[in-house]
Amino acid sequence: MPHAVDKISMLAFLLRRVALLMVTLFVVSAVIFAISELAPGNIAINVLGNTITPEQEASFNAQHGLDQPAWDRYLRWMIGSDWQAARLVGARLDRIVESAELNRTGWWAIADNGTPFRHRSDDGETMLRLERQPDGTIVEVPLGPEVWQTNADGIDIFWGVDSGGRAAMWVRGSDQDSWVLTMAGWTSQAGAPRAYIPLQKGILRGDPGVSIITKRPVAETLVPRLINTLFLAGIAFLFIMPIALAAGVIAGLNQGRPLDRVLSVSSLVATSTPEFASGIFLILIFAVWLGWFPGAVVLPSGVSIFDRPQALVLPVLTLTLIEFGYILRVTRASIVEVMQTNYIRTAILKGLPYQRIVLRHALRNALLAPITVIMLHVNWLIGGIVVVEALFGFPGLGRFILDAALTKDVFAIEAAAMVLVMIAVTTQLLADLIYVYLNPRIRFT
Amino acid sequence: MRETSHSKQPVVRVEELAIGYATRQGLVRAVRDVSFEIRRGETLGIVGESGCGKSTVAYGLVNYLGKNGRIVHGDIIFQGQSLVGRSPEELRRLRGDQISMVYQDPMTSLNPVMPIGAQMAEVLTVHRKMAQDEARRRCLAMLTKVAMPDPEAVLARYPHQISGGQQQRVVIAMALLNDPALLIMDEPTTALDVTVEAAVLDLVVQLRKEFDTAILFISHNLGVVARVCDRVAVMYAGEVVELAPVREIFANPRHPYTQGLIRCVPKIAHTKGESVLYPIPGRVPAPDSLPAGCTFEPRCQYAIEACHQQRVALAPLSPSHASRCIRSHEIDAQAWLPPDVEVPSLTAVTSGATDGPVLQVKALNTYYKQGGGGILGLTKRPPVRAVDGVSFSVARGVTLGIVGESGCGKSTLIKTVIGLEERTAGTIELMGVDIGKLSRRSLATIREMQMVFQNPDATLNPSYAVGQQIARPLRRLAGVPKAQVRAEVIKLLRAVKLDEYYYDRLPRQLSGGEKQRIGIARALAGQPDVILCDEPVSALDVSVQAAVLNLLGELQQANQMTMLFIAHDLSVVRTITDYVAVMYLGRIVEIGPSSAIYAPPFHPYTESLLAAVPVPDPTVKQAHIRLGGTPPSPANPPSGCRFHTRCPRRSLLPAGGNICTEEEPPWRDVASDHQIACHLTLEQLAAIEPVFSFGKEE
Amino acid sequence: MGVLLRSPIFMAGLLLVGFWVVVGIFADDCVVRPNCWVGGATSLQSTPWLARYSPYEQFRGQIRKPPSMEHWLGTDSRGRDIWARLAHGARPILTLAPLAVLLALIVGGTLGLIAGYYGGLVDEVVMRILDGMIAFPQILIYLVIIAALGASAVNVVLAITIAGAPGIARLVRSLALDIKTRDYIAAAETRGDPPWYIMFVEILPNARGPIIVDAMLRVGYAVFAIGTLGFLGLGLPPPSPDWGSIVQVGRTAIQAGHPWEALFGSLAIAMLVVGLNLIADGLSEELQRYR
Repeated sequence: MPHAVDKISMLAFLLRRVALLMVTLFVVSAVIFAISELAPGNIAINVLGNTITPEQEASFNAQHGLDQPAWDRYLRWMIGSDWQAARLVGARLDRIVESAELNRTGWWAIADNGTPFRHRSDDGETMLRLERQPDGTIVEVPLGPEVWQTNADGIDIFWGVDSGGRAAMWVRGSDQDSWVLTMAGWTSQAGAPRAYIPLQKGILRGDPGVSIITKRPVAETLVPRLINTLFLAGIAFLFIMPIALAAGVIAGLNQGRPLDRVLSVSSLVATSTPEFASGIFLILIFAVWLGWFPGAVVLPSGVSIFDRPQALVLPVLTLTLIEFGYILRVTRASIVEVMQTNYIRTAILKGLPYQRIVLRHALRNALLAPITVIMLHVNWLIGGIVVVEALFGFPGLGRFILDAALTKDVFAIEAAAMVLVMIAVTTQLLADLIYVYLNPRIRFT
Repeated sequence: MRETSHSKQPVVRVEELAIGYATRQGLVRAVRDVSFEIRRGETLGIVGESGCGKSTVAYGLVNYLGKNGRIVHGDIIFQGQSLVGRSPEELRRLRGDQISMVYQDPMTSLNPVMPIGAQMAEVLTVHRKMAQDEARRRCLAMLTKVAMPDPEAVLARYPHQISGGQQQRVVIAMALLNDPALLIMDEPTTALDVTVEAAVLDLVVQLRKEFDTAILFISHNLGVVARVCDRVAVMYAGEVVELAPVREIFANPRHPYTQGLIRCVPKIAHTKGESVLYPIPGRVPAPDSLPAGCTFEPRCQYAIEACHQQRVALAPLSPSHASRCIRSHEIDAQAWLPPDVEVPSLTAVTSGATDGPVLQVKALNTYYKQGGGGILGLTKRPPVRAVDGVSFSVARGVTLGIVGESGCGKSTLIKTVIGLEERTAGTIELMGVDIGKLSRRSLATIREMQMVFQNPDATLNPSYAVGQQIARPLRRLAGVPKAQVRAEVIKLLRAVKLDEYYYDRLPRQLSGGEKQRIGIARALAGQPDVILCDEPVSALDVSVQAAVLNLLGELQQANQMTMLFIAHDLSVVRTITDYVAVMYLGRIVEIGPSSAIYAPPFHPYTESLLAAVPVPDPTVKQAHIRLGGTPPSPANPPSGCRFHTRCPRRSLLPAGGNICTEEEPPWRDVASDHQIACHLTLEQLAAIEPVFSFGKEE
Repeated sequence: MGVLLRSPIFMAGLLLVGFWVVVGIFADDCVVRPNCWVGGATSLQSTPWLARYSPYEQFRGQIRKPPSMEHWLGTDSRGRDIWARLAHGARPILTLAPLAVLLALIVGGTLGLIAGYYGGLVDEVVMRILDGMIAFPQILIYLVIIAALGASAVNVVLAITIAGAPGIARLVRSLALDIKTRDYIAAAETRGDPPWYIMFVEILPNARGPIIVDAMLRVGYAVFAIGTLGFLGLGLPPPSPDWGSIVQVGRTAIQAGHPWEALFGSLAIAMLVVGLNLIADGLSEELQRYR
């Protein structure tokens, strides 16, 4: 009977925590969006340099939807713009594979018979429908004047998909120019649309949009990086947790003895040395001097990190140094405290063997505090990952977000930040659950 | 298992035991020259004030002295064999098997993350190699023996799920599982309420008879020792100063310290007018700065030149009575004359209604909201009714005591009166004017009412010197100009019998009693009309407690202040108050003159409290009334009379007291100033036997 | 204080930190010529003392040389003296880190005191927001802020303050929650003292021990963070002698057989952070013993 109540209250607790997590993520998304898109400083100038003309800037902002109100942009970022644009265009919009070998995709309107098509106008008068054939070639079909629709202001407009894969609004008779920075420099195109809606499915549907630097969907580049990073961090975390916990317990049980002194001081040094410094030391020792492991992760295209495990040794070691020291110290402090409690005194005076006192009475209590603290430390681990990936040239999420920050690739920063926060918040939820599971004082109240 | 040979050999014999601790200043001997023995079925009590080394002796017996403590001299002979110098493994086998222990704080002594059954059973599986299910059966039987309600369920519970009294029963049951030869109890009832304490002490007495165990019982409370012990060792500054059978200790104490200790304990038989408490001057010397001669000599009024020449040995006065005093044979406790120090004689105010009441509380409620429960925390939980419909009034110069067990709402009541808690309903009138919450009160109102707090270690801000802390209310409330503050502070220090020296002292340099005096001086700074005392002496040692009580009574009388005095100790309340209100579950159940409330007619709850009070006199007989069950939650109080679930006198009413469950009890007027809330008639209440019958009174 | 001097951990930390403090102060003669730091190093040339050379001076033909008598720690890829750069690099890091922590202490401490003392809804709101910020990986705060605002000393301090304040607020809140239950707080309330007086005069001084230890640790973290930002290319703009960027530039020279820049830069920052942590450790150990 008490167990039934227990399960319900556990479920309630879980629900409450998940609800809270959702709220946190929502707030965080707003904050990230606000800082990265609304902060002082102009995204266009950041990307294109400060020599651009006002026309070029306006055109850039329009093409990327940056001229829209913040609220609309936030909504698009969250829940996407394709459903909204599809109504205007009057056709289904979808992203299709344009080139399998280049792994390139793009947004197209899809006709009822399944043919993808886009639009173009060279003069602002005749709309061309570009139908993509199964072999990848394009057939241009001119459209009649009946496609123009008169809006409330009496202006003839047409909604379609432009060659950049954006929903776009053409205005009849307009000789608007659009500016595009290509390999050959700035080029202008006449007969350009007046307004754009960049197409994306929104982060809630796993699409954070297209990078304004690389022009490729952020999700495509992010996911493989994420997998690499999870692999790196996972090895570091799983490998080090049990060893560090055990070392912390051993140090704590030998409090004040030479073994404890050695473990404590070396763990303090390990945990307080910045990753880039300890990484340099490790490179100098193991790569330059001993030559055992490569000092950088160099991956030719097509070679996955899983094929070169020896390249992981030094990055993992660098990451683990900090974590090892930290976990050891937290665990040590906790076990020292627990060993001084009255219930351990009771266990000793009950005549229990030392081993039993430690394993049955001290350990579970002593691990309560470190578990939550260690899980919170995942935030710190994320920082370490950025540094370690930068140091070793490891193709992971850390370097991804660093590069995005350095090149001011806002959509990429936003997406990577959301992924990292999600990881951080989820681990904290996990930590709470473990804590509750281990602590009957919370489980049965 | 153990052969029951009635050998004359004692279970444990301690010989000239000395225990030292290695500190930065060198080896400090916390315990010196302690010798005693305990036989089968005998209880030896060790009493003494805090820091006298009584717990150190207990932990020395099981050689649990921490990293820096060790036995530096003497021997412990346990069942014929020396324990000193035994290997840790041998000692481990004895602990929990032959020697077991019960601790002061049961909650922290049990492992919070292990079910009680597992914690108990491992004593058997480790020492006796018993199988799990057999161990479980034995645990169940033992829990039944210690009168644990629903023992089967308790085995599966975690410690925080049962009450403090039940936790202590678990600890005791666990200690007895292996039928130990020696049971050490270190202040086993100190953390418990008085009614729970009484029940646990009953259990100790009963179990000792049943198990024929030798018990070492450590307590600071003379009354508790008087109730359960056969012989008593009085400890002072690390030494046993007197050792005698329990009746002998109380009837004929030979050591000046024992005599002083007994004289400064408030007696339940004495009312405010009759009682005189004589505190012991000075303070206990620290173990690293002991006097050269007799350790008690600096505080002893019988001290002569010879006393500080050399250490004094514990010398037998009779085969069963020993004292560590060179003048033991000539000092007669009966012929003792009060020393020439001022001890106030307090006069009880019987009918204080000269002019209108200074403080009047009407239908006061203080409820605490509880955090939400249920899914998503949206379900409303009922509020905790900490104070629920309390009314009383106090006249000028009158002291009203408020007693009751922890959780009865007495602290919340005075915190609400002074404004630290917000009331939910009712009025609080100070000289006829209703006073609102603290932030809305004028400085003039605030000045009229001040408070003295319970915990000496928390009453003063550790960051500031004493002078600054008294100066603040002087400047704020009394508006003393800056130039005169110092002089005024010193005046207040003098008023609480401290001198100028204390002006620049920090709180950590003061003893507990001194801190309480500063706390009193601080409360007096604004010359309040009403002073509220929240257990001001409960954390103090008896010798210090007496002095602080005297001081409070004297100041109250001299300044004609109205005083509310909270205490859980009825003897303390009786010595200092004119009126007493007894609270149970947020309500006052009886209010009346202190002299009247200690004899029938009284409320059945008052009766139970009186029956539970440990009296430091083994000749006093107390009626055996024990409360059953556990106190109900103030969030969900019982219907009708709140006491009906535990009332021992409900059976006197027709139909098993059905009325008690259904109707609120009426107020019955014993006298104009004495009311009892009970369904029993005054005649029925008056017919109840008195709780105390005094054998021979001095 | 005297007890601290007998703690080997504390003394070791003091030695490590003290070394860089002395080197930083006496790197050149600016300490006796206020003009050169008030007026800026451009107008008045400073004379090197402990640093021996100017951190900007490029020695011809001395590109990437190993340690020698002339250049104790060798020279970097532009022929600048590494020791001179490290010595001068101690200055920004040793001023910015404590400054950032001080700001975080003021902001976080005040928020924590208010949340802890008032409790209830105020506490709930403040702590929800701060918990949200704590859930945020600190590196992200740095990256997002620096990416949005650009790399400069002010922005580095700002980023560290924002990242550190929630943690301090949490600590101060928990201390305030504990201290406010003490009777002397009730005594102050019952004599009608205003909330600001109770928070700052009655509560705060009694929380100082843990706050000082925590602040010491946080100065360590701040040095850590400043170094990391420099290493990631988000620190002080070149050619400022920034320890982190010295390592960043130096690491590319490792493969070319010149490890000195990266090695000594790493050693310098490791020394300082380890030293600060040792001081904090020694302090907290003594504080516990004192209790």
